[in-house]
Amino acid sequence: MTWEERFLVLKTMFVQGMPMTLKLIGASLLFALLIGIVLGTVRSMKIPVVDQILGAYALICRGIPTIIILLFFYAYFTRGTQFWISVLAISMVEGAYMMEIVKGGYLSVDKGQWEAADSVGLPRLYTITRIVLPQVMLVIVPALMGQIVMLVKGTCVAATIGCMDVLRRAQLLLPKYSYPLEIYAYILVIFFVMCHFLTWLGKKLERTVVKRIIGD
Amino acid sequence: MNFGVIIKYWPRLWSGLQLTLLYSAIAIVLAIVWGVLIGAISYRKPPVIGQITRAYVCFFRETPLLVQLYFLFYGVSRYISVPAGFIGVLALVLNDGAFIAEIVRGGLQSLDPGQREAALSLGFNEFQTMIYFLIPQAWKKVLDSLINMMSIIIKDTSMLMWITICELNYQCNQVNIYSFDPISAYMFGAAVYLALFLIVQGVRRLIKVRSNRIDKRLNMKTNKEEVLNV
Amino acid sequence: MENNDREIVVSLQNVVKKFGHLTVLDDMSLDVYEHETVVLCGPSGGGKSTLLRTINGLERINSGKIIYRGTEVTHRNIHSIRKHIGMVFQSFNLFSNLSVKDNLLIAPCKTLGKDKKEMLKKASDYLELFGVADKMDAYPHQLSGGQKQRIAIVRSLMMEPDLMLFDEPTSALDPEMIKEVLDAIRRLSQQGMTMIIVTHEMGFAREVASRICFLESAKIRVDTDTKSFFGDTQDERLQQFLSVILHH
Repeated sequence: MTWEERFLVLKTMFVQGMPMTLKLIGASLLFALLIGIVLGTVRSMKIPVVDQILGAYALICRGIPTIIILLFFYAYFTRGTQFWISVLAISMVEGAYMMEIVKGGYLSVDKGQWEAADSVGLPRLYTITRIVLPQVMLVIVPALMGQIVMLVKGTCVAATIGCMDVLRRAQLLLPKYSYPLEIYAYILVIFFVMCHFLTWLGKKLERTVVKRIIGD
Repeated sequence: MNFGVIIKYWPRLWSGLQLTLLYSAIAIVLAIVWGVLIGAISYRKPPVIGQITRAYVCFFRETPLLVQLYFLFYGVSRYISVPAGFIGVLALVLNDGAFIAEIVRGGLQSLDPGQREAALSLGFNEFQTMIYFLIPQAWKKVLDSLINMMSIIIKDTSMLMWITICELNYQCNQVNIYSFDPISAYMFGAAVYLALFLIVQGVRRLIKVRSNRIDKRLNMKTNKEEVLNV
Repeated sequence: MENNDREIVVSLQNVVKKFGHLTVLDDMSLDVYEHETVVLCGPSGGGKSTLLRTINGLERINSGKIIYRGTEVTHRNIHSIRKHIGMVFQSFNLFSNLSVKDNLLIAPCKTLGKDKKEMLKKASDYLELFGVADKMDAYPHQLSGGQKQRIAIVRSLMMEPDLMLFDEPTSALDPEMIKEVLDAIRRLSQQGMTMIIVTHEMGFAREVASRICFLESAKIRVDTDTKSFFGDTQDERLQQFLSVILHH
């Protein structure tokens, strides 16, 4: 590949593909976190029936490959863009993992925290949002960051149903610039940089914020 | 769900399932061997090789399997002709092996350093110490995570359809294309993957219960000893 | 001291509490009068902590009544009643994600709707009084056990409680820190705060308690003023207990 071609390839990938990839990551992350935090909180309460339903949801998402869920949604839903179908599948699966992580976080919070909040008369919802949930979020930082990295990596399956993300854009360049080794290497590097940044950020958060507030 | 569709395309689905099981089995065995090897190396941190393994583990854990598959299949096999099956197994082993390596390294690091020192002091060399003492001890600690990795590898084989391997996921996709019945086609696939997942989790639980029981028995013994000492 | 002309703060009437088949409080009755310092003691498993926790609604009772200032405590009104009852836990239970300042301010500002500035002033006064003035911006994990417990006491005081409950406030502390916490409680006792204290520190009990209850096997075996408690007790189990505790 000449430098000129290389420049064109990278430009196409970054200008046309990256925005879609970032949108996929942003939307999936938002919904997955929302699902994870809300349902994880509900799951920690162990409400009969509801808990069994959520358990089944977690089981399905952990047991079935994301790709088969994605292909099913793509074939089943005749409406909706590839983008939203991908976001639906990815946030459903990753949300289930995050739900389990959040639930685990709740289990690690000392019962005394609830009792102390009760003893000074704080309302239940306020206790959750101001006292317990923040502690949960601090405790789960390492696991959650790991899962976010999985989510970022997982967004590239959207390309397989034709979502115009960075991977799909790159594939469309292949007939014209037939250097698959190099072009796929770029994609690998792009994802590596994003994921490694997130891993680094997670460690940084752990060392600074988490350590400062709740100690080791 | 329409069972007629399943029956009609059964040969297709069955061959897909066989391939999925085959690739899963090969990838699981090789990924564990590879992961233990890399994990042991990154635990000992020899110069240069240690850095290389660390870079490898880091890179393969933080890039998508799908792109790794494409890279190896469309990129590498352009220059060296290798069958898709080989590339598929290679990618699974490199990817999931990196995760296993991290698990194994974590297990080794959690061991009491006195174990290694004791073995070395008895005249075992580094390699023997690793094989006879450290890995067997770490194995018990990481077994649970390793079994979990098995279900992940089984799920990961579903990505092989994108490099022309006709495994279960591919066949389900084909059935959908022929029958226009996404529910039957994909639900069948989903149910099979879920069943495989449940089998692996069942084995995991069985092993957990058994090791718990053994631990309990050992604990009871020590308790008894304590009582006798008092 | 004559109790007849003083108001009852909290009254337990025939309270029964069971955990499964185990009866922890068996038909227990107890009246606590204003400005009294009642110490609950006895062997572990005797129901002392549970008694305290039922008063604050942390454990639901199976039968009987708990009456606070003439109102029966139910799960409906427990929330408003708790605002008048301070509780200090064995394991401190400071909110671990909040700084000391927020730990002290969160309850009065949120549940009593107090002015933040005013409360900040009050908090720093209390911290000063209990010798932890410099810890306003620290997080709980940065404090020693004794400091945590003194701040937990201040957290309760911020609500201007009418009654304070102490659940083994010094059991989780290293010996050198016990004194600083006991000093803090002693100060409250001198100010006339109504208190119920579960403790094994019998020397301390002798000094601050106006009344001591000895609980064993889910019952109050002895309920008497401090002087006669340590004096000529007839109860055989109490004698045993005291001889173990005092000669320890």
